[in-house]
Amino acid sequence: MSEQHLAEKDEKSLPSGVNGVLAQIDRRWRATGLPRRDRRDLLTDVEADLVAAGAEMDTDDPHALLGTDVDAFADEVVRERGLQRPRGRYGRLMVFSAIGAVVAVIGIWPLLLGVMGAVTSEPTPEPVYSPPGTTPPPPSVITEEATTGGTVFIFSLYALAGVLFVGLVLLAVNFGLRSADRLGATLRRMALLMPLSAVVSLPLAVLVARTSGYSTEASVVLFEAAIVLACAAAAVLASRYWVVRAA
Amino acid sequence: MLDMCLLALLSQRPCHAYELASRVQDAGLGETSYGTIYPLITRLRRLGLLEERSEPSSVGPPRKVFSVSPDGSLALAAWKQQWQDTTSAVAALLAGVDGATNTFPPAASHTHPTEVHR
Repeated sequence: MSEQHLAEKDEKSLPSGVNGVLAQIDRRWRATGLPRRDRRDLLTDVEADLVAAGAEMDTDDPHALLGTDVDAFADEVVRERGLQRPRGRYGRLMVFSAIGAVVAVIGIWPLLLGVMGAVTSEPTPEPVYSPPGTTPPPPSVITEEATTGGTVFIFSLYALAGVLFVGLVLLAVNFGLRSADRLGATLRRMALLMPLSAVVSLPLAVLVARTSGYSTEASVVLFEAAIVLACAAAAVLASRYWVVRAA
Repeated sequence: MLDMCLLALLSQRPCHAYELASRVQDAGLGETSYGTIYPLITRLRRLGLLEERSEPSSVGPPRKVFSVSPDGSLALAAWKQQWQDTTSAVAALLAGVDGATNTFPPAASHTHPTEVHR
């Protein structure tokens, strides 16, 4: 009976009209993510009181008791019972995360390419001809220290790019969901889970790259990017879900 | 404020939610539906200010009858004191209002700052 309305469990014993209202209340509570156990308890309570009230007031029409806005009644009961949860607003969360990600990629990617290009560019070719009477310059030697330093620099650059990416996504979500409940907790969890998602997704992307022989074909590169972005999106969703469930 | 009025009514006589709705109306607090009363009773129950017991009914299933709990009595006494203090203060303030209110002088007597320099 996981998806069946709890209100339908005892349909035959209820006065006409009450069952429809109980089903509507139950739908409303399900839509707000109220756990099944809480819904069952609340519904049992409302049902008993509604049936008793209808009998006392000699009416089978629950709207005569509750008014026409049954959803408002359902919301009010949940709030007064202290069971109200913040809305997930997952759609808006994903839209603004995507905006932050796009801004980050547009801003960071050229910067990253530019700096890396400057660092890894080929040395200036040595002159083939030396004027008479001059000593030709010694051939350039790339030392091991220089290579290690370059690797550290490149990884630092990647880390900085990652921090900027997460920061811009957080900024965008902070703006887009500024009126949402528990936004601060959501942002803190995003700041935790997004780097963790990179720990999972980046080795996977590197594995794909290695498997494809470090192909630069668009389909391969897009697939690698999709792995990283999908993991980041999952981290964003999980952050909000975590907060909403814990509320 | 309505929740405290409900406590006051229940302190006079325990009753069920739908009877409470009509008693609110009879007390001159305006038309209040059962759909408004029920959530408020839900809150008062959650806060432990009400006690409930099931009572047989001659016309239908057993009904819940609510009464004020000991904590509810304390809350009601505190609210009553607060309400009396507030109404006393407002009454004292209004006692100074004799119908003739002081106003600014007529607008014609004002001199615009720019006119001073002319």
